[in-house]
Amino acid sequence: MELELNEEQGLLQSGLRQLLEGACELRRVRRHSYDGDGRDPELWKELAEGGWTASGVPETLDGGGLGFEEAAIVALESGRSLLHQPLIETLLAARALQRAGCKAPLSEIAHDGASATLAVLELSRDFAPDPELPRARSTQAGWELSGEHFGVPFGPLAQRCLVEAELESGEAGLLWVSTDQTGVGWREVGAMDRTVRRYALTLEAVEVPGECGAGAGDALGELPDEWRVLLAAQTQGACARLLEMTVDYAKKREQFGRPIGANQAVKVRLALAAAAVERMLAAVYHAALKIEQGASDRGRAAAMAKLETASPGAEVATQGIHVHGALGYTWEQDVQLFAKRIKTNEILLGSDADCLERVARTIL
Amino acid sequence: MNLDLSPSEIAFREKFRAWLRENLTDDLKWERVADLSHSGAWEARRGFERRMGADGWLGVAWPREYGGQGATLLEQVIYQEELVRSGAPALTSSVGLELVGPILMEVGSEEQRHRFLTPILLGEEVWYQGFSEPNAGSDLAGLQTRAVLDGDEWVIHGQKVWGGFAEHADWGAVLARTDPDAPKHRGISFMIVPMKAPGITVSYIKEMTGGEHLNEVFFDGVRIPRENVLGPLNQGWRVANRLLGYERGVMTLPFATRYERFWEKLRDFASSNRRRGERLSERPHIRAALARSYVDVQMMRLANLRWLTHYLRGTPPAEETSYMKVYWAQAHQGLGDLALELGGGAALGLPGELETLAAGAFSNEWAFSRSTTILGGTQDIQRNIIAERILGLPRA
Repeated sequence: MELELNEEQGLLQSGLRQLLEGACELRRVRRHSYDGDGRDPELWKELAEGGWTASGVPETLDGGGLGFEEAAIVALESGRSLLHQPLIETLLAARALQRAGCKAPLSEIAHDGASATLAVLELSRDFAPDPELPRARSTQAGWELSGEHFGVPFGPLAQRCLVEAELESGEAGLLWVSTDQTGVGWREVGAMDRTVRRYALTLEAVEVPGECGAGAGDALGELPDEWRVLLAAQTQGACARLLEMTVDYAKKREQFGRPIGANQAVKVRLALAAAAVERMLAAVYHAALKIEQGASDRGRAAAMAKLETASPGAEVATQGIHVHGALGYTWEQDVQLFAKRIKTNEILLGSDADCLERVARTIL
Repeated sequence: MNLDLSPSEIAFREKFRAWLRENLTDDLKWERVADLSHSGAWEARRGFERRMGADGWLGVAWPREYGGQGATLLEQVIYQEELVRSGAPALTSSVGLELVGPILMEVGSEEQRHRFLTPILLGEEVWYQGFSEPNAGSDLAGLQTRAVLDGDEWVIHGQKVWGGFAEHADWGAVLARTDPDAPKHRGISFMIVPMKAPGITVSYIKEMTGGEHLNEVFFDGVRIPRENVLGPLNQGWRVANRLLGYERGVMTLPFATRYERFWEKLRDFASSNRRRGERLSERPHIRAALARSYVDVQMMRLANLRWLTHYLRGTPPAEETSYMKVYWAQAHQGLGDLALELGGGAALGLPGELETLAAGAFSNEWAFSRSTTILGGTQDIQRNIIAERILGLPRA
């Protein structure tokens, strides 16, 4: 019985944390995401050189061969650092491509350091009332892909996009497209969390070579659950960092001649936030384990992890802003950056009501 | 990561499970007997525990040299969970087994160990825990019960409250002030008091459930031998305190087992009952409430398993146990609220009242769960501990 990282996983975590503390400090996140165009190729290069961007590709295909527990660790750290690059999306794409047996795209991730994002129906549904899957028509060379997706994170800021589509056979398919190829159009939509920009995707007769796609309904089937868990992990990491910042502030900021953190009203807020953050971690580990094992109750575990981090995460963020006082409400203060990521993660891929029903379906 | 038990842990569980199947009779199960506190069930409970003791199923955590099984922490958790799962009532021997026994082993004199340990282990003697007082609850160190030396005897005056089994207990583990001039944490001693001694009066407190399990105990010039102090004189606070953390610790896991069973009852009720023409389990807000409650209980378990992992790795959580108390109360009170929402008007009668759904089990759980934010260190104290000792916020 072990519900905690093992020694090796602990080292993996501290390695990535160290890298991100150096290469992805909040000033850099602001500079690229808020003041710049969202691109940060130097950081991606550093992540690729560290082996992180290909960590989800099997070792036999020259990737890191990391499992899902490790993917959760990457997501925890991406939240803690507020990473503004499509790292967890690239990890998830690699896992789905592997299940679908699509080797050519995996090679691009492993050898070319390609970054990837994901365009799937489950996420489109969070952005559009009644989205339909794009259609992929068979051609001599492969497929011709047309249709739309919504809410795609990073969009053209990633190099590739894994697109969920419907094949002529009626099967679900996964198709790998370049984000700048002919027929691929991106329209940026508003996203308060500028560290993960959002895009509507239009595909007009986009040509996809045969080796870059697969009819793989089952391969996709796992992806939304996995994404939910990684969003949950990311939120946990973001909440943990936000709480640390807030506790530090409560110790330093003085009013009436003493630190505001000496007041019991403030202590209660922070103690409850800490209890929530601790619980989130157990939920994330549990779900990561269930997915790694391919357990039959993994979908429920994923919904539980999402649920544990969704509105509790948003509440932690709200407390963090509150304890910072008026400063917390300003654009300059960093807690708001975390709050926006946390709130976004709460809403997407199943907020409370949706995840409660997901749990309910398995137990009632 | 894994959530699996090892083969030897499974063997341990199966062995105890089989023993319980053989020895626990229906008349003792907590789900069937609404109120186990009174003497009717008392003799049967004691008989059951003596059988446990005779077969080596009491004090499994105790080291082998003291007659225990030297069970690992995980085995102790398994043991407690099996007890709950079987429907066995709470052990009347638990104060002796979990509080007094370990303290005797650590700081008791040779004579004290010889006299007290075996009867605890055999389920022959019951201990009462006399810690809290009317004016010393969360601030336990502020206790006022006094013991004054008179020749070779201590003379005890004072009042204790919230302990159980006082009427039936053979011995009391009583904290008393032995140095009124010392700072409050340093003038307290841990006394061993024969509960049948002259000057002790026991009464029951009726709880909001209507049940009577908790006692008030009055000490009016009770005389005990000078040597009946456990551990060093005036060090009673330290002696007693190492056990309070334990109470809040991973041993809340068996509560999760109990809540899981109660949750299953609620689920079954919702699946088989209708209100306003609709099956309860088909109403969206009921489905959401059942799922929420399920998640709270599971999360109480999972968060505990994470701390348990830390214990097993030899890096035991310290103040982190306060988190567990927070989750525990949230899970239990949520269940109590849900029970009444599901049961509706027909469930509002308490056990023993006129016609009432499930013999009052739903209302009883709601009322009983109101105690969970209070007992074992209030929710407020836990939050202070988290804020000050974990987060490092300054004391006021």
